[in-house]
Amino acid sequence: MRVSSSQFFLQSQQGFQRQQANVSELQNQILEQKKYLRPSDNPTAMSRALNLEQISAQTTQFQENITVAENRISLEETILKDVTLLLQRVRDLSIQGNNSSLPDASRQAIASEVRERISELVSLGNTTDANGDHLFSGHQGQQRPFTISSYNGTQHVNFAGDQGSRLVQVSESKQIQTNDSGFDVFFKTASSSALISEAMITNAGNGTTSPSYIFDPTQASGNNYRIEFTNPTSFNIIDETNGSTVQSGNYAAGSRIEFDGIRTAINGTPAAGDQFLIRSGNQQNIFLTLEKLAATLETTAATPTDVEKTSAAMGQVIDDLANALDNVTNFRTKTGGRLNSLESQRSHNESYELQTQKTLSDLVDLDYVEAITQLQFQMFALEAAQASFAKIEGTTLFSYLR
Amino acid sequence: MTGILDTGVSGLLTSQQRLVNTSHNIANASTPGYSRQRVEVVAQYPDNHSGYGIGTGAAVSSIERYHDTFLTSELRYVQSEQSRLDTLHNLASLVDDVLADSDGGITPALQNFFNAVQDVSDDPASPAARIALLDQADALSQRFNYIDRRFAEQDRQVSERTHEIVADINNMIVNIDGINNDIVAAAATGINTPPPDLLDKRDQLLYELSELIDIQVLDNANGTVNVHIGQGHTLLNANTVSRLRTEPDPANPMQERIMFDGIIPDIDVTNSLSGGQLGGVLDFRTQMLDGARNQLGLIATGVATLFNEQHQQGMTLNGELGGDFFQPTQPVTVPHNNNTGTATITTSISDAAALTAKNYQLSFDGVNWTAAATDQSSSITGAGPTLSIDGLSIQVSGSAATGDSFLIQPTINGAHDFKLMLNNPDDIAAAGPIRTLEHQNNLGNATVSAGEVSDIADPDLLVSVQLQFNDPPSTFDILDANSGAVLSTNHSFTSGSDININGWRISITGSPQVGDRFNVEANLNGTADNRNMLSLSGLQSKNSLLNGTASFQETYSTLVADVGSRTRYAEINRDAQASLHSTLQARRESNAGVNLDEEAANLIRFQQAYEASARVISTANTIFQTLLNSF
Repeated sequence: MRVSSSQFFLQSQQGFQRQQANVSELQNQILEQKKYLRPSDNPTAMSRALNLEQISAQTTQFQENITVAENRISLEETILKDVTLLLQRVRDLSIQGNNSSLPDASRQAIASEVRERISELVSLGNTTDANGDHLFSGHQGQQRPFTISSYNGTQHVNFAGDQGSRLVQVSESKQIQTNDSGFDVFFKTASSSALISEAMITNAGNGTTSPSYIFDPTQASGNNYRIEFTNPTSFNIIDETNGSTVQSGNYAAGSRIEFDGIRTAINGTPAAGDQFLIRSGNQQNIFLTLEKLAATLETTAATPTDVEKTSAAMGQVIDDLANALDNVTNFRTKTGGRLNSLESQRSHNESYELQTQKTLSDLVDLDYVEAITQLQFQMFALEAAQASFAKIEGTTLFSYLR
Repeated sequence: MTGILDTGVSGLLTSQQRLVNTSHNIANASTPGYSRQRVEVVAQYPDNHSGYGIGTGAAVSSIERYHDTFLTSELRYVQSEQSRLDTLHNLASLVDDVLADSDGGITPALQNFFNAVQDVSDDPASPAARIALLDQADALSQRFNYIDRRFAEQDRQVSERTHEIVADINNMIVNIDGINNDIVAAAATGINTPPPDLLDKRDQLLYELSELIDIQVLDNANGTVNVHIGQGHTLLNANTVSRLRTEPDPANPMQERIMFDGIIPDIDVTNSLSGGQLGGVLDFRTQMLDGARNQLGLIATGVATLFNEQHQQGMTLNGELGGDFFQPTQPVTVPHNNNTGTATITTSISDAAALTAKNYQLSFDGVNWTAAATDQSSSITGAGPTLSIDGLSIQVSGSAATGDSFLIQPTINGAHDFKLMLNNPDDIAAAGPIRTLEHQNNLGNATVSAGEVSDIADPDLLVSVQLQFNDPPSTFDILDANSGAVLSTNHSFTSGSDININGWRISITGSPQVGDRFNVEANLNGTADNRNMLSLSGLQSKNSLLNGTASFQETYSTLVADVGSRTRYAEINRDAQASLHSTLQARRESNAGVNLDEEAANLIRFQQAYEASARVISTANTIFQTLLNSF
């Protein structure tokens, strides 16, 4: 075939450009350490790689979440362990104190240790996590869940948090609860001797009742009662079962009210017509159980009647303590279970991440051996083309026309 | 005797012509479009010598170029297609490159954003985590804005290139017309074959014109050519030179259409043009850029809309319901320039999950409105005033004239308008708006669910209420939790089934007893609550776009794959076309190109012929002298 001179140059030129482009593409691949430099190099692989990158980044985040969750749950687990030890100690003390031959002084001493334990338990309940959020206050992290209010020397603990819990995402489909509400842990303890006391929601005054308990089981009737204010300073206590007035009294803010073996107190400023209800319940908070224990131990047991009263009350306290321990143990089991499932999720995430990385690597990572072999071949081809061009280009008939 | 001399001189002259021609070929060895020429030489008419004819030497009959009409027109066509694909590929590569940057694409920004969401979820009260979330949201919006700006810049370049190419086409047509006239003029001066160099020059101009646009060329008997484009629109003939011009498309003033200026009225030839750089530029816009921009906008619109919707279901640190996290994005509705009615259209997004990356045309036929995707994949017809199609709610007001139409671009500005709205970290709604409480004096074992919002717009959502069980506890009353006032009575109770009141939904499971109470209250001070944050982070993996078939990331990956495939397709086609082009080019060169070795040989050959003719003259001279000396 006839070849024109400019065609020869043009073809050589295009050939060099093509080969140089190949060389530069390979060099870029090696520089970037990537098999594909832009989506058009392999659209399917590139878009899959982007999805895998998201999966990988998500899994890494889940692992971080697991660490956060683990810290919180471990903290709760530690607190619950301390609470268990505390309750076991208190149970020992109650057994020790439930001895009619014990002198009052020793009972007083045990009582004061119990009171110490109450404030210790409150501070355990008010534990904050690393970020300053209270562990047991539910959604209201800044709210101290357990506050002590004093009714004429008797201390009562109120729960000021809520029943919310926080979940943490540990895999695409799995969330783990990282805290329990103080309400469930410390307040929802079964008790056969529990009392409910509360101000009617319709009261005009702002009077509140303290939690009530049976201090003298031998007098307890099991009936429901109503404390009714005839005017802001005096009240009647009415047995709702038979309608009889059990007791009438003058009101002094915070002072103890005792009737039919029940001890309660009212605080604040009630208005005429305000009512407070005291009924039998089925759950009692741990703090009240401890308060009842301390108060019982502080009562003298001089007469056989006293002994009968206190030992009956102690019997109830010991039952309630056993229930409280059961409840806390129950939550310890839950936290342990959560820690276990976090651990298995972590290793599951790890292997998933490993698999994702491997797939990603197979998809887009450069095969150096292949790339460098290719590069060498391309450079060889380019050099050969250049050498042959230089040789052929030199041969022209005009060189011989002299 | 003079015969020898004349014959010798004729040989001398033809050889001279051939040498001139050879040097012309050598001089133009690398002139683009040059076809080598040859001197056609014929033997001169013989003298009549007593009955027999005796030769009188050689004469030049014409100068011809080596030329193959079929190859030339084939090469023009291939060049046109090659240049279209090359332009398309070059422009597509720009989009491809924007998305290629793995650190600069949407993927890492989206990941960082959702990781920051989870960090807030892990520790909702932390100011650091909240600030980091706002930073990442801002980074995400910058990423969307940046890519959109690149797309907008490319769109602007498409407009500019279109203008330039149209101007070039107009210039070239004028030049071709000039050569047509020169050829006619040359014929008038008595040259009967058109000068090869003029033909070459015109062929070259036609070839360059075919780089810009696909043309059809018709040869006329007088040596001139007619040029047609598109569907037979005559750009050039013996009588007229027509022009193309660009103007804003009345249906979409942001883009231009190409008008054929030849006849009255001017006609829109945008869709009938093909090939060349112009075809490539127009194809790039319609096949790639518009779609990519809409698709990116779809992702941005999806993220903004769905994140906002969920964010509004939550409660901020200050106890207020969540607001717009991102600036809400709105579809763009453009009225047709030729509308005569007064109707105005408001288009809003009713369901981000059903949105598509398509544009829609809304038109009025005098009775009904029709909204249809521009690719005709979906349409709806109705009398209005509201039409719904593909997640859009179209509201018509005012009165339209028959034939009025509107262009609706649901997502075109999605990425451009994507912007963080919150600037106070406390305004991140991480918490659920309500919380539920089981009363501590309850006697039954019933428990209450954490509760969720069913209607965020309910005005009573944040009113604290108490559910109190009656005697028997198969019904409950609802009381104001603060005053104790009875709000409603005797709601029937089924364990575990939903209770929907005041815009929230809870369930109570177990056996409540008489007097048992459950509270539902505003989640004030719920600083440790992350329920809404968990729902927000769930959006990352949720298949919430394209009718629930793809997550945000997957939609973006689809865009990347789409752009990648189209670029690759353009590249493969261009390469195939390029090799076809090379083959044709080689064939043309093989026929018409100058080979310098050949010309060198010719130089020797014609020089020898020249010398031989000169020898004939000197021989004639010698013979003449001999004759003179003999007297």
